[in-house]
Amino acid sequence: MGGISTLFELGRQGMISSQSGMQVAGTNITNVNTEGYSRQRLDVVPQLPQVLAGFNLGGSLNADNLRQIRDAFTDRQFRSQNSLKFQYQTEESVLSQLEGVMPADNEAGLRAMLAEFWDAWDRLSNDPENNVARDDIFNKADTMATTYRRIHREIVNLQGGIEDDIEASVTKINSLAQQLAKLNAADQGDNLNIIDHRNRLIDQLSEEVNIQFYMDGKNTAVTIGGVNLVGGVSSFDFRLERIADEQGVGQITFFMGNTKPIEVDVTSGILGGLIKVYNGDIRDILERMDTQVLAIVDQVNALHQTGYNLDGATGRDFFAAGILGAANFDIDTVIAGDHNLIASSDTPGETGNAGIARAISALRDARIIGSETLEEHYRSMIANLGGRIQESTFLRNSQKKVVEHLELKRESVSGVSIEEEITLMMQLEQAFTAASRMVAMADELTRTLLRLF
Amino acid sequence: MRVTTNMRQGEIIRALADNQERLLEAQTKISTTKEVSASSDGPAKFDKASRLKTLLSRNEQYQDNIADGIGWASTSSDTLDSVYTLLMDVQINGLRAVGNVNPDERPVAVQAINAFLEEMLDLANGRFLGKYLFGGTITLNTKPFSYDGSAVTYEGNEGELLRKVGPDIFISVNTVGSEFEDVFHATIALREGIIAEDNVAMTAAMVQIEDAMKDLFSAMASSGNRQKKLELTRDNLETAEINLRAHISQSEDVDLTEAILRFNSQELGFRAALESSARIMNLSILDYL
Repeated sequence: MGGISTLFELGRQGMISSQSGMQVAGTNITNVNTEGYSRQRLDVVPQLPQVLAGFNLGGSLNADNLRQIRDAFTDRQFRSQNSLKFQYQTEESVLSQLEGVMPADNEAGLRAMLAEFWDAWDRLSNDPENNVARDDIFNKADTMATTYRRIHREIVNLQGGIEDDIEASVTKINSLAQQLAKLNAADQGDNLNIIDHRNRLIDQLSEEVNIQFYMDGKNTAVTIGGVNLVGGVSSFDFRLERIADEQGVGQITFFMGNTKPIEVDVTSGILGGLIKVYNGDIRDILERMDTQVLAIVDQVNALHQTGYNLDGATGRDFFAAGILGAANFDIDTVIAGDHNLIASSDTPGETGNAGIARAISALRDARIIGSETLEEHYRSMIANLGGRIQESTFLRNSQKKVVEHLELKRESVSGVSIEEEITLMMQLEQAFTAASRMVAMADELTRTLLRLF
Repeated sequence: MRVTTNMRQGEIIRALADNQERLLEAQTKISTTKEVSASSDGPAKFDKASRLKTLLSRNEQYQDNIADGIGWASTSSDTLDSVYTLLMDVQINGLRAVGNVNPDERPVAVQAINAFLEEMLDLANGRFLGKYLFGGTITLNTKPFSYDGSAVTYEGNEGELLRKVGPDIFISVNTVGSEFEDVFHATIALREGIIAEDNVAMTAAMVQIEDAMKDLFSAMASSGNRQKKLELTRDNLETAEINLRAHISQSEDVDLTEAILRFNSQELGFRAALESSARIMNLSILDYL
């Protein structure tokens, strides 16, 4: 049987544990809007009962077990899905910019320019004696070539812009990795804020790139595509290498480490979305444009070489020599200086003969790119880009729902509910009042006892 | 499910953003009146519209080609018609010369025939927009028919002037001079016969003129046919143009009634979301303590 003094002790512990509980609830309420904060709970467990003279003396309390409420499985799922969400979101946004550069279907679009170029040859074949029709061909061809060059330059500029974003993302990844390594090195103690901080860093990394992470007690290891980014107290240098072709079109590869660099496969996250467009879609579009330009140049030049103008001049290229693709698409400088040199006839001296003009205009329907006509090739390029954007919009939307669901699940487990905390506080307040009453009661008991003397 | 303070607010923000996105989409369709305005709005639909637009622009170019061709063919027909009339005058003079034995009248007939010959030559060397009508593809530098006083020579070739009226359909619009050059040979033969007072030659020349008239007639007929063919093709192209425009509109234009109804229902949804959010956001346990 315990004495009255035990009552004091019980009351004291009751007051302390209620107070600590209220402090934790207060911390939770304060952090209701803090991103990445997980609510905390104080686990109050009874101490092993004292057994005295065959009686169980009920528990004093042990209130030092503070823990975070979070679900590691949801965390893991959230991060891998979040990576994909950011990838699709980035892809959609960059591809839309690309579509904006390719004015697909208005008067300034390439489709209209190509049509006008062929129409001009049609007009020359109606009127091969007319040098004004030759000026017309020159102007239409010039507009077409300029448009190809302009679009090429704009796409390369866009690629440059994406490159800046890629560099920014790489810098951010490195900075996050360094912070994580620093946290691994720090003396963490029982500080729950460090755990929150670490989780927030991993969340941010998962937005940038496809990561895998392993938590072992207080250490966190992170890999990108299976290559170590953070291990123990050190982080590795994540970097990019860019090569450009002769038309200034870039291609980027990622490496980890400086001494023995390992190539890194970046597949998702913001960086994954950017690199997919940078190395994939943009290069694809530019290649297709080059194919179109080279087909036009080769075919038109071959025919034009065999043709005669009104004065019998022949053997001249229509487009300039040494064209690599859309970047330097241009008309032969001599033709540009004297439009009358544009050939229309396939026989010298026949001014009304429009054999060459007709043959060039017929290229419009000829399968000059594999089994495709020029226009089919152009249209499939546009449809392909449109399809990619639609796909990424669709994926972004569905992925958004997946991530929202996981966020909700995560928030449902770890988030702070003000109602809940306030109710808990009221409950603890009452417990505190009761415990203090108990002390007062014990005090009275002691006084009564002392009065006996 | 445990609902936290942030979940409520987050849900409201998400729902409002979703609603706004849908509202904007509905609004864009109404303000542009286009169902698809970029390839990403629907690659298949967009591609179809763009293919139809190319067909339309080509249709317009074919119509231009035909308009030019009809000009050429009808000028040719008219010119041949005038030559035919003149040749009839030559024939009448010839008949008079053959039947009339009065030698005084023969020089008059020769003079008249020479005048007709010159006039026919002028017509046959006629131009359309500065180009010789009947020289084949030799259209600028050499006259189709040269005349040295005793003989007419055709200097042109047999080249066709083609007008593109379909992807690989060409219609020839010109009549080459060689088809009717006998007109001049016959006329000169008649003149020489009259000068030589050779009745046999005159009679033979009259037969030649008869044949030349047949040639001329068939040249006129085929020129007329070409013109007819061009006009028929143009009519077909015009009908096709109307159909194409209808199809383009069908594949890219928005159905306004439907779009506005959709917009209204989106707007209603947005209002409902705003109203319910306003109520929920005001709820707090703190008001009840």
